[in-house]
Amino acid sequence: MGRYVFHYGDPFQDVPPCTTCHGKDARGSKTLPRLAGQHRKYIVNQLLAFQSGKRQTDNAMMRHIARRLSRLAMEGVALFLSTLKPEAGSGK
Amino acid sequence: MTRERKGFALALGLGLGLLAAPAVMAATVVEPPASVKKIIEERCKLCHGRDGEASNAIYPRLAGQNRAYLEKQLRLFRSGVRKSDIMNEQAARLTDAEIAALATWFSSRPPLSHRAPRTPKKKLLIRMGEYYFRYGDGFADIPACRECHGEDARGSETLPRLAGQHRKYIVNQLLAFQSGERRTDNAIMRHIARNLPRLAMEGVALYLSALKPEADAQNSERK
Ligand code: HEC
Ligand code: HEC
Ligand code: HEC
Repeated sequence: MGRYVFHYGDPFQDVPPCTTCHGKDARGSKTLPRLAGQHRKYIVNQLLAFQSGKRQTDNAMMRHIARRLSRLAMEGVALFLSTLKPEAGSGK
Repeated sequence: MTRERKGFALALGLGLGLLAAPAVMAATVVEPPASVKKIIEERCKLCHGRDGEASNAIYPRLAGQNRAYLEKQLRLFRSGVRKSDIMNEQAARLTDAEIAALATWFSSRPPLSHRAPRTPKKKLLIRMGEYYFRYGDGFADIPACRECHGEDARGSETLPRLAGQHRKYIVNQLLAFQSGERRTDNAIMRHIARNLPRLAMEGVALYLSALKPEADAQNSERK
């Protein structure tokens, strides 16, 4: 479930794949956070904070995304990301 | 009745297997009365196939569907509670006895499956669907499908088999439950469909359509 959302997003909910910004390996970039290996619960909590608006950012994208993710999808993608190995050139 | 039918399905599954030719099957199956056979040949067959094997986005597969469920749906079509221009007309003049015989016939036909897709994307979608099937979604108050439709999604005497049904037909029925267009005395499917994300519908439908009926035989052997 998490792996699907990470690679393909949710076309029905207008959620873009996480890979488009955070990269194929979820390494992030100079300005974008690494997600690979991050703690599962921290990720869920940040997504919930984006959803509620508690975490504001100059980039509205994460709020848009978090509002359209089901809670279960958050858990799934967080679990997947937390287990991603930094070495992994995993791709798909 | 239930035991007989199960035993029969088991015998089919074990003895003849999936690849057995329909001609071989026919010899082991009690043919319906001539008048009902005529209805099948002249009408049902056109859309559902003689053995209920046809399957596409519009015409659901009837092969191996559970008897009491089929009977109930035919009655619902006849009374117009379940709406379908085509099936309301097809069922309008069926007698109770004909409905019973039709249900018995199609439920006795061997269940079939669809080929599982191989692309990485579809494989991940299937896994998502399997999650919903096995565990539901506790956050969204969606019970696991298997709680009612059974471990192998073969349903029960009164609950529909979902294994091997066409992907799009499943999605369409879920959307019909969601919109309230398909009403049933059992409100649970409407509740579930209202909470199920569209992507999850696609996933669970893809998972179900590719479920193999052989698993049924193995499982009923175990039990
Ligand atoms: C359009 C680009 C874009 C997409 C697509 C995107 N993100 Fe983000 N994400 C960002 C940006 C930008 C930030 C940093 C926000 C900030 O500076 O506070 C961020 C931050 C995050 C954070 C916070 C990380 C931290 O360390 O606090 C999480 C968690 C996250 N994203 C998860 C996801 C998930 C899961 C997906 C896919 C469902 C996703 N993102 C898709 C742009 C994106
Ligand atoms: C012209 C095409 C056509 C013919 C002929 C036809 N059907 Fe159907 N049947 C359909 C369609 C379309 C549906 C799906 C209706 C819906 O979307 O709810 C359907 C649905 C059904 C269902 C519901 C299955 C489920 O899983 O809930 C049953 C049972 C059924 N048909 C039995 C029959 C029988 C028995 C006959 C012969 C008397 C027959 N049909 C003749 C088109 C046809
Ligand atoms: C609490 C029991 C219950 C649960 C859990 C349940 N269902 Fe059902 N389902 C039913 C009943 C009862 C019917 C038959 C409704 C009727 O008689 O029209 C049904 C019918 C259906 C149908 C229509 C089948 C056909 O041939 O037309 C589909 C599709 C379906 N369910 C999918 C699902 C999916 C997917 C899940 C899990 C997300 C699920 N169900 C969970 C009880 C349940």
